[in-house]
Amino acid sequence: MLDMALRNIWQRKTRSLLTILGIGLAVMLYVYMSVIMNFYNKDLERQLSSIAGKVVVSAKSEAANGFPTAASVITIADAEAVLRHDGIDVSRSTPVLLQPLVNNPAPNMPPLVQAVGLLPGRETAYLGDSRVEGSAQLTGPDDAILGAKAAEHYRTKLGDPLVIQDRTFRVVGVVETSFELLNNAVIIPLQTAQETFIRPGVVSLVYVTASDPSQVDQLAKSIQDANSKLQAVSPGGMSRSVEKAMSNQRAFFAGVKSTIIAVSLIMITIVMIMAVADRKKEIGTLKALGAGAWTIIGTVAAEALVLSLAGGVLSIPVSWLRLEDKSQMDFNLALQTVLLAAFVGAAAAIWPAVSAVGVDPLESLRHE
Amino acid sequence: MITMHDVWKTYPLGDTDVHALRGVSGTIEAGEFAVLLGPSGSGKSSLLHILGAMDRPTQGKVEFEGLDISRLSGREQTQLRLKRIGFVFQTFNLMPTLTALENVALPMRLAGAGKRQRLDRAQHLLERVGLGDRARHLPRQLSGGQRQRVAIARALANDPAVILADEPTGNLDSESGAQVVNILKDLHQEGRTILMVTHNAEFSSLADRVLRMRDGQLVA
Repeated sequence: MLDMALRNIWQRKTRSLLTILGIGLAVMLYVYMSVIMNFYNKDLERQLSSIAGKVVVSAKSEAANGFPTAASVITIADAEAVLRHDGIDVSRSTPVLLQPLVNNPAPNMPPLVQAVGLLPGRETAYLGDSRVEGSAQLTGPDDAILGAKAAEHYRTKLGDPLVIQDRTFRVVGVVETSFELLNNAVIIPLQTAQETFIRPGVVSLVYVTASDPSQVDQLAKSIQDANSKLQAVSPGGMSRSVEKAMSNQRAFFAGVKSTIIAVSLIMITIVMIMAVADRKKEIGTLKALGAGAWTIIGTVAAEALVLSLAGGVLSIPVSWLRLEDKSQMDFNLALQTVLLAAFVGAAAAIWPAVSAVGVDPLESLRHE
Repeated sequence: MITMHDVWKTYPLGDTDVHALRGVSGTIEAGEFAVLLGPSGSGKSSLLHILGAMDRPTQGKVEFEGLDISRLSGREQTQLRLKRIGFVFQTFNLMPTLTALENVALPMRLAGAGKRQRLDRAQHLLERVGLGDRARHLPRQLSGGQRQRVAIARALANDPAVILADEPTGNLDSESGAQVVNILKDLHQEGRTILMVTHNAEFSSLADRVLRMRDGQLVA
């Protein structure tokens, strides 16, 4: 009965087109939510791997849980005490002051652009092995090294001035990396950051690099035991901490995706209920001629599936075109999209199909 | 072929019951052209629907080729309608998105016939009713009389034992109506059993037998 379903869809072009459009938009939103979640998951994995051998020391408080956050406040004295611990490679360790410059609209996510104040000469503690265009060193008090996304946000490039909080900086380096926290960073000297953001005598974190990476967990424990106000997180601990923070994000995205599915399902169900009501006489005639229940169900289900799949399949190239990183739309995601559309179509057909099967041929033959 | 034993059909209407049929008994013989005549509301269509296994009597029994169809399940009734009964409706009831050819082929498709087989037979049936050149037309492209002829062709699709026609000329002008009735006459002469419901007494002369209904009963 696929051909009948297709003709029924064609006969009501406007309604069909709007339904397909609605499904397409809903599926596109689903795709974007999936892409965002995948992106953050992968980015976190990369960032966690980037801190191998490192310990991140922050203030012990509820607000300071999760990945490095500006909510953590450590006095400079405590930070310096940390750096005097045995087993630390001081040349690759630094206190860090974080200051959000552009907040993230999504809840509990890192800022879109963030100022990072650190000790000049210790830039590699934060930059790691990332490739920097220009200079990877802050030689002057107003030098700034920008992540690529931060540079894009401020529309600046190497050598340009950059004004933040009425202070003019000079962009001496631009770092291009897949690590989101680096890409969004405006790295400036620590003292300059404390002056500019009026946060004297405090830092947010201390990035510590262990002299011996195999001893990083012991180092973290030792730092933590030495000062009850601080928590020292090694890569293993960071992973657990991040996982806890990310579980909220996953729940949020899962909620959004479930809502999208529910809305799409309801939309198709409404359209199909209307279609069955419109075609009561046809359905009654089919039954009078001897069409069985499965034939009726098949006709309704075919129509719902075609509408839903059309919306789903059309959303794939549109989503792909709109993605900045086209590689994020891979085969798995495209397949997931099609399967989602098929599921929505099949599920949405149940109620209208049952309703159609229940149509009394006599009532329909009297129906005008 | 069809035997009615004291058939009643009652519809509840609020606090009262409406008796559309009141103890109807009789027989339609194989090869007969019977006309069921009566004024509007006499119960003609109700009786036709029961004889055509689209409805069940409230009381009584209907036998179709010896089978008590009033006790069949819904699925069995559907199969009976598909394979043994051809319907012609007053309002034609063609599928608007199917061509004339596809409409005629539809019962064969429902019965599981192959595509080539059903299209060939459908074309033959359309030619039989004089519409061989209209096979690719949609119903909206056909006149009322042409639509009804397509409906007759459709009723013949699965070579039914009986054709039940419910006011087949009710929505047609007199010329088209006469054309339709002539086709039914020709089919009868080929040996088909036909029961036609009508309120038009002019057609009674065409029938082997006239069954008159009034107030839910067959009258002499």
